[in-house]
Amino acid sequence: MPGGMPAPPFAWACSSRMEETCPRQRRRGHATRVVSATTPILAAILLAAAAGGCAGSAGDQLLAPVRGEWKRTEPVKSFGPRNLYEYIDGEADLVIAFGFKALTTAGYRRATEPETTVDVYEMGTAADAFALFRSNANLEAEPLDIGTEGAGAEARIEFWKGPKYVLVSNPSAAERDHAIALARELAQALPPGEGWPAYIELLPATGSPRRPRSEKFLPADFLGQPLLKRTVSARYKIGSREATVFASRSDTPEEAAQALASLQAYLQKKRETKPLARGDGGFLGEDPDLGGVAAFRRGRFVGGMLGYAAEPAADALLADLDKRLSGTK
Amino acid sequence: MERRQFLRCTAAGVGAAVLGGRLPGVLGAESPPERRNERPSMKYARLGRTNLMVSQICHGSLHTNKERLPLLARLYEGGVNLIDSSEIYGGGRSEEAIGEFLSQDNRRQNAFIATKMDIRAQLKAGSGVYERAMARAAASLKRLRTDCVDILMLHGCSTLIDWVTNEEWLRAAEDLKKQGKVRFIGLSEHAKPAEVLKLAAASGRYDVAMVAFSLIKGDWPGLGRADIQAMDEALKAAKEKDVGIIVMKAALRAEDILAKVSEPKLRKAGFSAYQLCYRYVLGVPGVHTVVCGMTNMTHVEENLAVPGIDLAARQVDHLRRVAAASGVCGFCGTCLGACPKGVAVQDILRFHGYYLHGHREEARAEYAALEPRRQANACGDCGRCEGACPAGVPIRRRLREAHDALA
Repeated sequence: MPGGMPAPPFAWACSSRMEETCPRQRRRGHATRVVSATTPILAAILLAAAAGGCAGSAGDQLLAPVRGEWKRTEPVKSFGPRNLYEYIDGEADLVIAFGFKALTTAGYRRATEPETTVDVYEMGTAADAFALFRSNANLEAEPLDIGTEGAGAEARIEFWKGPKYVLVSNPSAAERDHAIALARELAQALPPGEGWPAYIELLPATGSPRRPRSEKFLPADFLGQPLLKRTVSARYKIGSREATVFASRSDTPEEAAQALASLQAYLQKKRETKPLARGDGGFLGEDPDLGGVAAFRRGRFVGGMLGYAAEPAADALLADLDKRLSGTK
Repeated sequence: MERRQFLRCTAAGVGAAVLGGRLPGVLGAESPPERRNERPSMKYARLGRTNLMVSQICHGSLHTNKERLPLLARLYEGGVNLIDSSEIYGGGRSEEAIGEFLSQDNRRQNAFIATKMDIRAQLKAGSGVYERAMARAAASLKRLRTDCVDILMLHGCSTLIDWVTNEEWLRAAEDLKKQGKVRFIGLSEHAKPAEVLKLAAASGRYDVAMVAFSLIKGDWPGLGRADIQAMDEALKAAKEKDVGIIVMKAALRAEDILAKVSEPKLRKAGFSAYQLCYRYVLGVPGVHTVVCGMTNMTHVEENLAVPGIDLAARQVDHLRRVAAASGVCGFCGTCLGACPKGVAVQDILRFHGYYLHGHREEARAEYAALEPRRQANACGDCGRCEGACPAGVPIRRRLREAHDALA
């Protein structure tokens, strides 16, 4: 789990694409986003797709003709950011917002049982795969020990490992254990992943307990604020209630100051904010839906807490967060 | 509150049935429309036979989660009273966030919830449809923290054309209505909106349809988004059956189109391309509301202003003509039937578009994969394609440009 992993360097593994999250931003930024070192890979994928799904890409290799007791029923199909809509339509916006690079998919069948579908999302980095998993995995799914992190719901089994986010549909209730076995087989076929994203280390790990699996990463528009970008957050149990600790990273300290000012201006409309003796420009605010809000700037980070109430445990979490942000470039 | 909500939902339906002598979901115009959270700054429309007065801007919540609750709050303040979700958005996080938001301050009583269920796998397999539908509805209600959703739609991510009248789905939907868990039934359709809307209207079983169309036909191969001309007949059929119409994907290629509009009256100062596209579909007869995806406050403020944009009917017609003559290829494929040489005009212009948007290697690879006889240099310069093109695209010149760039 994140809290127990060795501390990696505070490098932000998430791609800069994550800044573009909504359909509008995606469209506006499309020109520059995909042109990069990934272009040859995408071109290869497209050529493979044009040739009828011939083997060649990493996803194709994972979707081998035989996986355990399952046999592939069709050629592997591939999709890129441009045509993902053809496969999952409007949901493509959500996936692309998290840095999606390519999808390979194929049907598999075990004996004469109903067919299952395996979708392999290539996200580019483990941080992006983690971020998508935590925002897209079925909310009520049970945790499964598959890949770096897995989950199983009624309709699908899903996991992430390294830069890949994998979905295995569950064709029927009777097939669930077999679908889990297929997912496990796929995970084992993947090379060792990069582990947990470095940005999780920004979150407090001492004091009040962090709610398991509550860590999330939002590429843009945290709290609906356009300037709060690349936000990692997690929920903590403070006494009988919960609070959310967050850290957003801007490109420059000046941009972070703008982001903080924008959040403060929003909260000022609800109720007068008060100074908070932490970081630069720290303040306390109140929102009917967010509860108490504490926020401050440290370098190019905006850190804070939603559901803040003045008490030692909450302040200790903020102090831990502040310390971590202070030591991060 | 849950109990009150349940009573309100069922009482509204049963009461209307008694008073109107009809079943809920087929309320006539004689019943007073149901109004919620109406604010002077927003405009409202009667959503067909549901008789719900819905805000002309509907919140599309694919990207909604607990970290974006302030957006819901601002939309609610701005008079938005229809929130659209799906059980699959964010693995249920969208419904969860909406449930949390609406559970505060009596908001549930002041808003209409539309959500969708994904039972395509069962529909495709031809088994388990009813059971899955009932189970998914129960899960949605739990996340939404309510005993009753106002509109439950069959979620169609590609096309529902084979399943519009699936009896198992419709039986589940009707049972959910009888149980007071759902008030009105609908479907959402991306790929064949005109065909599916006509089928849905003819069936008489649907109260609402969410359909994808915009100024011009879309550019995603295999999905074939419809333009407004293609929707005319379907919208008329829906109107005859008083089906409520929610439009999605209305701002498709908004910037491409509006970038070419120089008419000052249409380039109203301060209005974005998105605003004008949304406003445009609101002016289409038979359309009641438009669903807009929003992830930040800038989008919210823009979209809240849309219904108030003064776009007279003649200006709407003009905008439609401008869009049609904008020279922006909508990849409708009309040119393909006109070309005697079989040149892959639609694909070539699409590849050129990728090229111009920076995807140069990909575009060249795709162009190279075309048979030589279908590449741009096979064009005989007869001009029939241009005569057929509904958008007035200068195809021959564009083909030459494309070949120079891609060959």
